[in-house]
Amino acid sequence: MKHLSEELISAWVDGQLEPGETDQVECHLRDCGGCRAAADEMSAVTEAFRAAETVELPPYLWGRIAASLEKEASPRQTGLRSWAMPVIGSPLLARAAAAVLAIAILATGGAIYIERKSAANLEMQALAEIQHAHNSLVALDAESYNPFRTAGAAYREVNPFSRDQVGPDTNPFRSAAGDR
Amino acid sequence: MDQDRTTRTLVGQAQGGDPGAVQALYELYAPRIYNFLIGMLGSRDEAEDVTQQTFLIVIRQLGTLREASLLESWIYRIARNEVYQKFRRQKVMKEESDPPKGDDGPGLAVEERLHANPERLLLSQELRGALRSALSGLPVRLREVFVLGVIQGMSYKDVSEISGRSILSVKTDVYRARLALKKELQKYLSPGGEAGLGRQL
Repeated sequence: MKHLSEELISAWVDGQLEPGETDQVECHLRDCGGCRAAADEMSAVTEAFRAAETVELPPYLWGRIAASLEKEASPRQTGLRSWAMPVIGSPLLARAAAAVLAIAILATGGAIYIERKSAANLEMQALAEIQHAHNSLVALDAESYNPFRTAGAAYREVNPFSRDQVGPDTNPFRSAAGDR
Repeated sequence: MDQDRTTRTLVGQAQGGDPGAVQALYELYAPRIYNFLIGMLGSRDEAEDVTQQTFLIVIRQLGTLREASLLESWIYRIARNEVYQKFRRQKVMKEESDPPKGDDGPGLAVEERLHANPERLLLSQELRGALRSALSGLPVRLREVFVLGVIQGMSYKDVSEISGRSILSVKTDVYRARLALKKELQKYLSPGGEAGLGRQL
């Protein structure tokens, strides 16, 4: 009879085999004294260590941990046991904090945007009003209001270069025959 | 309430800032971590220090844990990292290091169990020393999987997650550790041996 590998027996002792493998190993162990002896030795070692390694946790250890945490906390927070309030680390609270921060950033950015947009709107509005006023005045009295007019009595009255204003007495560039 | 639900509830409460929940989580997981560390370090004093350091890290970083069901393997990984850092600091990473100088070390349970039978106390002390010596003499890599997979009875899958190795590698190393320990403890195993384990247990 071919013996089982000790690695397989080891895994069986630890209960780490798949159900099908477990059945095969147990079937073999029923008929094979050599493999059964190997399995018994492995089980005995396991049980010895499991029994020997169970040591009670020292009751004072938590006190040491709590004292270290209290010492780490800032003096302001010590009375509140701040170490037990991992606010920054809490996923829920961290998400909430991130959301508040995002809102603050958006609000600030939005305010700047609105402010800039408002300034642009005001400028456009002012220009529109100027244009509207201009159009109204032009409609009312195009002749008198037009600063670029080139004809009419009003023009002639104020234009220092109009033919009517510049006569022989006032024209410094006159070339009348009588001057020579 | 099963342990998973208890853990989920406690983690939620601890992340919300409940100091009682933090302590309850410590009480739930520290005993196993402490025993794992005794197995790894071979000394109760060192295991206490590393348990303390491990839980300080756990409490400080608990808020970063997203899935409460992963708490146990997360704590074990932190404890394991602390052990390896300690080994590195002490320059005892070489696998064939001398057994650490332990105090009275693991084995209290055996001693207490045998107090009822004074005739066997001396034998138990010898056996306890032999177990401690054999475990401490294992290479760290083998000791780790043996403590987790055999002494603590974790699944090879969990050991694989904690140690960062494949399940196949864990399975092989558990077997190698068993082989080495069996060799070390041969005289206790043989039916006619001076302190047969089979007769003690």
